[in-house]
Amino acid sequence: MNDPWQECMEHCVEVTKQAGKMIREALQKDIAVMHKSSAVDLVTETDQRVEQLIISSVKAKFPTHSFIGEESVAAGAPSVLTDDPTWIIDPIDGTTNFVHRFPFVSVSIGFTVKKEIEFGVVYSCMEDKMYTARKGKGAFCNGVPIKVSGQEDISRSLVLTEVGFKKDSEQFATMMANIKTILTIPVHGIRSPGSAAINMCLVACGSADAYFHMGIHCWDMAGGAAIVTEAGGVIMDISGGPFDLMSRRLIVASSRAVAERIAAQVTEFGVGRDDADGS
Amino acid sequence: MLLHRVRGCFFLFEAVVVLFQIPPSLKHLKIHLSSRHCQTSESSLSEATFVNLSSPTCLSRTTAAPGAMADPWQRAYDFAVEVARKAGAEIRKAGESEIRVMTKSSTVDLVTKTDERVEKIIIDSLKEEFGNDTYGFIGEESVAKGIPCILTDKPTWIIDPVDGTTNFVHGFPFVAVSIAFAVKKRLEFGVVYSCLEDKMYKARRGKGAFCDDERIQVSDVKDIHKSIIISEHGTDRSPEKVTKIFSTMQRILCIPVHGLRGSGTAATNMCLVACGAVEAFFEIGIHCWDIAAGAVIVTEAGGMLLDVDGGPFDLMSRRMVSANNEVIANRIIKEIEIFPAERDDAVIKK
Repeated sequence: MNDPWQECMEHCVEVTKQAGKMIREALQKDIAVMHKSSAVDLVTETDQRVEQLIISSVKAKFPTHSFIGEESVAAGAPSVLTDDPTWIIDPIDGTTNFVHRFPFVSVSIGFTVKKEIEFGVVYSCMEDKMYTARKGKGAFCNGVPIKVSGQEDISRSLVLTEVGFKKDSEQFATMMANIKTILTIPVHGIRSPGSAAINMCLVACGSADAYFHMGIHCWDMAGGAAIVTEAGGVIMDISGGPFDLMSRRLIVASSRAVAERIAAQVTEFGVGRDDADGS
Repeated sequence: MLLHRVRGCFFLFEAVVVLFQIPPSLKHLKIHLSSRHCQTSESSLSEATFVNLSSPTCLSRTTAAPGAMADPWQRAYDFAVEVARKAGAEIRKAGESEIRVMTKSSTVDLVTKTDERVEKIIIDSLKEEFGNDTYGFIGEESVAKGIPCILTDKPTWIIDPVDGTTNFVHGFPFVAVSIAFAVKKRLEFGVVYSCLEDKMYKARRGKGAFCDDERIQVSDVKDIHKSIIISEHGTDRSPEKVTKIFSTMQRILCIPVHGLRGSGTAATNMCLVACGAVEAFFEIGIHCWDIAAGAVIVTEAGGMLLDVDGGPFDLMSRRMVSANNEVIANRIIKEIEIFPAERDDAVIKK
């Protein structure tokens, strides 16, 4: 049967390439930096321009589709997932990296229908790596099939997570304690590349064995989720339960064994939901 | 809203344009400008810099005379770049097959046959080109097998064949060949080949630092709140050290800084400082072979090195802060909780 979302996915890849080009051009110039919720929550004009580019391009071709975009939500648009065909967009995942020219900066787009992820595209622009996955059709990096490492032994794992300043000192202490707990299992190492979408792709292509995080957003996770699962990996909630795109938390891993071990070691803290009122 | 003037450059027009495009819901805006392409007049690119390892007041800078004589170490420098590239190709090839992993001092201190083979390739190539006994060698895997790690006045190659062995084993994108050369204990040049990225970082004393053919320089950020800092957890999981490492990371995050990152290889981390992607890298527990080449690259890119206690950099001390400038370096040093690490040149008591 014809794939009803094939055309959407092709358009998604095309517009992502254009977005990546815009980001690379912006990297050649000076970047004016603004702050959102705190001194470490950065946004730039490029984030906003890239999101406008993607949304206007998709609207022109698919006028009935819905959108959840990071900068639109920051400007007051709702962040509620419906059954509508929906594009979930992070125009620049890794804005801090972008500002500093640290090598991991990505465009991330996930597409859902009836709240199910149909495909995901993540473009790591400084590395020029285009990760794509269509449900049921495998995961690819620049057209080459990728798969997870398959590692089942946590003590042989390379684990990704991110650290950041938190105003809530208890949450901050729990975040640090979680990382220490995982490190001293011991695992082979912990790395913090600085972009959630790229972290998911690093697990998908086998360069890392797990990534866990509490406090990210649906637009950070939607692109990478299909890429990880189509690469043979596992995605779940931080508690070990089923993955919930609006929960602001996840574990992705090369195997259920590694994911469940991380879930068992990590102490949760409240991060709210993307679809909560007033969030 | 605040507008900060970037040293040597003026972006008011651009900032005003940005201001009028800001959606009303973005409250409490502060605007500052990130400039990576502003050539500052205070950069030391026109000066020769060197790291003098024997001087207690190290990091002295001198000015090279213009039109100076032929460089006695040019041939060695060019050959080092060739050898690093060859070694990197070997590493990439090895990464395509299954990698048998062994351990050294702990279950997370990894070594592979590739580390050993690549070090042999480098040392054999250098001996073939320059003679068996012309130069000394300090190589990570040779030292692991018992060869002493003592730096003398003799011209000496300081080699890490695979910096980032854990990354190599996993296929994580940062794996480097690091080759440095010291004469009378002074570092003359350094080469770091990030082989999975295919990026050749290099610096000759007095001649600037480069990534491939492009000149690189450190960032001009002086405000710690606008910095990215790199540090690593290392391979020692003993509880006292882990506690101090985490305590230091926590203190730095709470300054706050823009972010904390780690690539998994000290040589690459130093190159990230040198090209301005991060403002500082510090670590306790690294070895001379991890940082010797990066030391030249950072200083030639306009950056600087210190000991973690604020004293002069000491290549054999197993610890270091490398930063874009003293302001950032000293601010970080305030937060570092120091723990002991045995010197690379400590005499092993039997």
